[in-house]
Amino acid sequence: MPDRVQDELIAMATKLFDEGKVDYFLGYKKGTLKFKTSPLIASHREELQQLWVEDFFAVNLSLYLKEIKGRVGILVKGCDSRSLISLLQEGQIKREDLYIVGLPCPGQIDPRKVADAAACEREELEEISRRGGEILVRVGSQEKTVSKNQTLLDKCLDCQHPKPLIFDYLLPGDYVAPVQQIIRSQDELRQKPGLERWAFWAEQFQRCIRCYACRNVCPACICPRCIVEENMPQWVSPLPTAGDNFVFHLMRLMHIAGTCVSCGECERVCPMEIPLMKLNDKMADDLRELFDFVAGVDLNKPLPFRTYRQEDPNDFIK
Amino acid sequence: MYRKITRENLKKWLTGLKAQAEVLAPAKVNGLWTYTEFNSQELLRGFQNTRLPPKGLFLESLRALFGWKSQGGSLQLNPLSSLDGQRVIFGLRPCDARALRTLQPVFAGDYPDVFFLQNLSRTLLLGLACQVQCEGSFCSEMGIDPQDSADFDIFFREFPEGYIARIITDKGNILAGESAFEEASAEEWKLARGQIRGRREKPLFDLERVQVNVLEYFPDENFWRRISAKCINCGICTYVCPTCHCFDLCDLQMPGQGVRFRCWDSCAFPNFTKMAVHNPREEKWRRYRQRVSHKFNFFHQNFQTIACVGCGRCVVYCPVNLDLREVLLEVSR
Repeated sequence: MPDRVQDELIAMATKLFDEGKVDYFLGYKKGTLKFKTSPLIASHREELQQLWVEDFFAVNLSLYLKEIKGRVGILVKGCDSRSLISLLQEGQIKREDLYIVGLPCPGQIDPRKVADAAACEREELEEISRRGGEILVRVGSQEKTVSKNQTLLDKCLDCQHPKPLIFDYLLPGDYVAPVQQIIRSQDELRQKPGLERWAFWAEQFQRCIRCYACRNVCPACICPRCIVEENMPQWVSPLPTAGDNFVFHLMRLMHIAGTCVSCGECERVCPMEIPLMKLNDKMADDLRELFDFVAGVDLNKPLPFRTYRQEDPNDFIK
Repeated sequence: MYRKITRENLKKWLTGLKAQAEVLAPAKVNGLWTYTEFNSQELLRGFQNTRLPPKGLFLESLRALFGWKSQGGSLQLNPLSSLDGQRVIFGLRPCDARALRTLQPVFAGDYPDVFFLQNLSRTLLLGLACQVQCEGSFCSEMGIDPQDSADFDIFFREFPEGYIARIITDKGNILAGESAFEEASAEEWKLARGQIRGRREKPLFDLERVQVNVLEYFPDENFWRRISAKCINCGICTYVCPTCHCFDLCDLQMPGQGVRFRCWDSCAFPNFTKMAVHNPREEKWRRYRQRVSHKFNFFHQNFQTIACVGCGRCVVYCPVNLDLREVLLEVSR
């Protein structure tokens, strides 16, 4: 991405500190590994020089609003801005405490997919850069060109909101309008009979090591005490058995229905590479079809799971 | 003592061992490198190290310890049968083998842990020299030679015609006594030491200074607050760590019977030290400080070795790029 975006971001954030508008600024700094960025939680003006803009933004920064108290400037892409809307809807954050700097997003590159497209191991990738609509990859002394659609994170391929939906200041930059009306809802798994889907997830959850990274990295997981850690009574055992893992993941999914904005962080961080977004996407589709609701898009639309109607056609809740 | 074997014969040899033992070797399962039953798979193409460390084969993430039954007021304990099937693991890396040796005294202390110790004694460890410095790793800084190790029964180096084996233990000697192996010289062994691709010229930090300084940093709350600010309190760093060994106990109860299980636990979890009236590590900076201080100092006080082997897994898989190497570098200054 062009340096001028980065310069403008640093200037903007510095101004916020100078004018006393924020106590913290949340952005990214250069990571210590190839193709990684690291969250920057700046509390001093001097730290802002580390702000960094590139193609491998990981961590949905709205995550940190749970614990940072004070006025916060925050950098958001389209999907992250949807998390802010969800958090505002849930009363978790106050709009007046935030200064939102929006970054139009050209889609984030997934090094794992680049490696697949370039037919090499991820570790062998040396450089990834954009050239027009294509991605240039250097593996050893060789250069290869692969198409952008082969390398973007799956979630970015059908992103409907690459431009932040809520912001106080919008940085310049190209963003990609939705590439095509895709794919994720046409996931092959969904066409399969129930027993096969059950077998698929049983195998996936069998591998879960219960590190809870999916939950902890999720901006929508807002409970200060999670039910899986309660032991009086113990609803879910801490043992990583297939059954308890199943309960953990499905329960988490239900709890974030309507506030999960498909930012993809849970799937990105999973050390066992469990394809959690398949579940999130199914949930998002169901919400759209059954409740006419898309998470994190409209601040004024009530959350389906926080709404009670006397005339609800189902009587289980009455 | 050294021996050599061709690639083809190594496969045949490992296949032959399956008659006497469970043979595990690295393979990709669901896209992740893991030690799994050896099935003459194309060995090791692109293999650097497994996603999860081999500690799980010794300290399982889920292990039944004993069962019980109660009938008419009497309680009957059912100890589980001992683990005695022989195992061979091929392709282990020097960092992970050192980690197993590091864990040994923990589980062999005043209260011997039969499960870990039986798992260790029933397993032959066949090591393999590294050719690439893994991303995020700092094994050399931790005093580990990625191309040599005495922590195995047999340690292999690749060379153009196959593998040269350094026979380390008597068990290893018996295992490699078969005709598939030929005699090799010390000279051949030396020549097979290859270059490590991507190896750093200079160490990142001085380990001795880390060990000393970490105690000095211990009371510095601001330091640990700053370092741990972006930590999200997940268990990845501890679960992918080959030396982290904290566990939890949990009963599965059914009417009239039950089983006590052991599972991994993590000092990164807020509940880890939660007690009836107090949690001494409520805040995450205290937890992160504990993890670093334990590995690089407290463990040494107890067992005269440092509880980190520099494999780099925690560095690579941390969701927020909280890089232990950066922390150690700061501590060592």
